[in-house]
Amino acid sequence: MTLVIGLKTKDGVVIASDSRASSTITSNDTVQKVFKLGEHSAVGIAGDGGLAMYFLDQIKPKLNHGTGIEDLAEQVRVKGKETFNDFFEHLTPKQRPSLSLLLIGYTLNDKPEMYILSSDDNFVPRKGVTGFECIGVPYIAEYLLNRLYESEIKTDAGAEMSVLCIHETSSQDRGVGGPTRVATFSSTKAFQEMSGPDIEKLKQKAEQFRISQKTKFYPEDPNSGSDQPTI
Amino acid sequence: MANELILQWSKLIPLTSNEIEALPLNGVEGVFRVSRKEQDGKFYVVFVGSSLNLGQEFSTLILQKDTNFLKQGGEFSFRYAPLKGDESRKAIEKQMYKQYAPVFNSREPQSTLNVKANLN
Repeated sequence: MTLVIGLKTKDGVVIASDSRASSTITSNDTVQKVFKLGEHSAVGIAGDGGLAMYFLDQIKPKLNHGTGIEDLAEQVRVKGKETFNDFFEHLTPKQRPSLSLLLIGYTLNDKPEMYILSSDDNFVPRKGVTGFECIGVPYIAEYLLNRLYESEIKTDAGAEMSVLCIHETSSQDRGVGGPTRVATFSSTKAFQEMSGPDIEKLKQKAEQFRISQKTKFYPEDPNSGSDQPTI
Repeated sequence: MANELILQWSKLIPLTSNEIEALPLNGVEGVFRVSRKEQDGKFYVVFVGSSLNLGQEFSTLILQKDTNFLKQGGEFSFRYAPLKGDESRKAIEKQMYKQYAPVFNSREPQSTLNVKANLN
């Protein structure tokens, strides 16, 4: 399984993912799930990893990135449907493997937007309305983002929040894990991946956030204990 | 299945130099936790640790209060339990870290020993 998170921030956008590909008994933590499309657009993938990579290889060269994210979503819908139908013409829609895409980028008016496209739904783009979107194993991340996200968030804090969501999900769902990857960009700043050490620092902060809440459930009992404890 | 340890914990003791000096803790090996009083009047654990010499550990905490987490201010208390064996102490420190989620421990204590103890 996978977790890909997209966030709109006050000064840019964030797209982040885990890097685990898992089967019933094995897992591999080296899978790239976020890809740069243009300088100001990116896509995250969830589903059959090998299929997703080949699918992207097929459609990426056919995409025109200079026409804004809305048009890019429509291009992905058309090319995605065409490619999937070509790949799986021998299977009924219910028999086909599932693939989800999180598309994030800027309109021609420099407005950030996100779209979710799913093979189950003929890649019809669903426009994000909350400022954040998750694909793969979204439940824990969506809960946290519903509680924590505000549209005023800055990109660096958005990256931190994304890492927190992935970290928390990986602690509960073994299908999500491995090194976290985070990329940011804006209408003026090009797509850039954060370094491993920088992400590691965010993971440490995420751990602090998580643990700072738990302690409130375990106050010290003022009546317990001995005057002179011994071994 | 984790091996169970039974610990004798001290009462909750104010973390002051007077209290530390009055306790016979010099050379006592053990685990401890420090808590801070919050607005609801309860003490919540903010730091967990272990030491070969609890007396020295607490004295150092007090001596360095301007540079360690005590500089945050507030009313601090602690409790301790004598415990021999570095591996066991680390395991219980880790257990406390997991339960109390102390804000001033920057990292989870490392231990592979599968033991559990009573924390009260």
